[in-house]
Amino acid sequence: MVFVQLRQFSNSSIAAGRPGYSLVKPVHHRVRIRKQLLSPRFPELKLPPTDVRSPKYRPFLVRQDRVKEHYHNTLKSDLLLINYQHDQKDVEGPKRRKWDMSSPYHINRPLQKPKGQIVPSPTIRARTWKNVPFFEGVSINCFVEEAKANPAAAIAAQLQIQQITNSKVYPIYAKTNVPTWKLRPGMLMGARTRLTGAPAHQFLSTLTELVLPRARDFRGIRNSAGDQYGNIAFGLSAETVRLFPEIEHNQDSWPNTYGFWLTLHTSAQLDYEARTLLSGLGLPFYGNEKVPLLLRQAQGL
Amino acid sequence: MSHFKWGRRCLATNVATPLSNVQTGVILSRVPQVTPEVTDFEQKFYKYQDELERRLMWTFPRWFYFKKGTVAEREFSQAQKYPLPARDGVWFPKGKPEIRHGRDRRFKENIVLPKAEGHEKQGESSATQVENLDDASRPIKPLPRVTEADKTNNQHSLERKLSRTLYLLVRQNNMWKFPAFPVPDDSKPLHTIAEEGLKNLGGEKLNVWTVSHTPTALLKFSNGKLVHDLPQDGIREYLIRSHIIAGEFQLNKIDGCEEYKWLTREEIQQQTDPAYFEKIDCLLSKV
Repeated sequence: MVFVQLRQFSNSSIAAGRPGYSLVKPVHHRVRIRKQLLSPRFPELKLPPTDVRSPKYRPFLVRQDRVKEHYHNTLKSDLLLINYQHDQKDVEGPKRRKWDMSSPYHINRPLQKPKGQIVPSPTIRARTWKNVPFFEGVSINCFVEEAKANPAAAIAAQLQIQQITNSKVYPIYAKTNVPTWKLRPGMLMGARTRLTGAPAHQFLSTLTELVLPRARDFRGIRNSAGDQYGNIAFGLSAETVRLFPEIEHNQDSWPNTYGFWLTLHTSAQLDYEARTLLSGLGLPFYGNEKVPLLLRQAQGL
Repeated sequence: MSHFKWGRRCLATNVATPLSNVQTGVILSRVPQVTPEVTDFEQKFYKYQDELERRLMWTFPRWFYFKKGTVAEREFSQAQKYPLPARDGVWFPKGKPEIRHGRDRRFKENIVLPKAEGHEKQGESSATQVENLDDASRPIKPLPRVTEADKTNNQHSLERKLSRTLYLLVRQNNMWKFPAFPVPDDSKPLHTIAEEGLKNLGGEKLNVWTVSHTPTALLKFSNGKLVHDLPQDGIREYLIRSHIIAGEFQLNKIDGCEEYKWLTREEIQQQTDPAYFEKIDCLLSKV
């Protein structure tokens, strides 16, 4: 006799008039079916976006990239030398700790928090020629306060960011409920975008050559800016945004401009390395240099 | 930035070299001022990709830039060359046009900016015409990539070979090499001695930036020749990397330096001793 085990659904729920469910995890529907690949109707949709025949294809190596060439020809070797230290060792960042299993309740319990902090820190690897920091991209975040009363301001901000960056812009919605600010979750509040590769380089050179040198209120990026791990953020005021050539040469269309935050993403492991890289790309910095916490811990300072 | 120490260095285990046998050399370079030359193939590749991008671009949103009924809109519309629409009974040799918003969507869109008033006067020589800086459609005149120093091959000039990295080479004690300075005492670090030596050698007008306090290479000399294994009385030359930011190099004949040249990597290969070039080749930029 062949015994076939069937997935048993709960009988009590059927009796109660509710749909039944099984505790056994389903094995079907685990692989996502892309129907466009099954349909014979649109063969060009089956092509990868890197194929010239695909409707999604966009050429990306369209001209010489000045920033990229400057990085590879001049900056890269200098950065390696600047960041080089004799006898450099990996500095292990605090990680989540295992429980000592002194209690039976430790079984399957999520790992303990890292010592002295809430989230784990990455390990800082020794600097070699293989991990010289490079500029990864820039993300732009434009949160418009006026959009609380006037939602059209958020749309104007989206248009402004699109105009400056020539890229697809995504809306920002409020997440929190702050009654004193009249802010409710789900309100359209502004625009965000992320640039990488040649568009990011183009944006950076516009910023460093045309916009920031003429900005009156810009002294440089504060040395205390940064997220500890090589991403540095700073803000541009609404007046500075007027200096972008796309807006400056079409002033009539821009009665209002909106300031925004820029985050410069680098592959540097610590902020001071990112600052060295970005100052090589033409961004000025000012203020006191801060010794990173991880290095202070490593040296027992 | 590099003053953060990663670990304490151990004491030197070998016998200390006397300071009279230590020298600090400088690799002083002028970084490329313009973009590198593109090869013929690269140029064609970029041209093709650029045309492809323009073909795939969205149609220019003229309704955004030119408000309806304005003078600017009329001037812009008059300046455009509109494609011929498809007609029954007419044969188009390049295929039937598909026109959307005044653009043939099979091809890239050519936007013509309306000419400002100054440009309409033909026949006037460009020297007499005053360039109107407010006119966005004025022709862009890039400065030449080939300079006067390129034409005369003036190797003392910093304006030669703008797209390449130039290195300062001096003839020191009858040998073409990077300038090197003796270390008088241990009161100053190597990079400071290098900076001061450069000031003495090249004059006060020199504005240089030392890349790092860490030497980038070590050359070992014995009796004025490069050696692999250093004898007791051999000379250690630590090379400090530095860039010239501004100013002019005017040679003062000190430390046995008699002549100087700003050279690219290939020219250094021709100028220097093959053994010396073999040692420094990895330090030089190929661009």
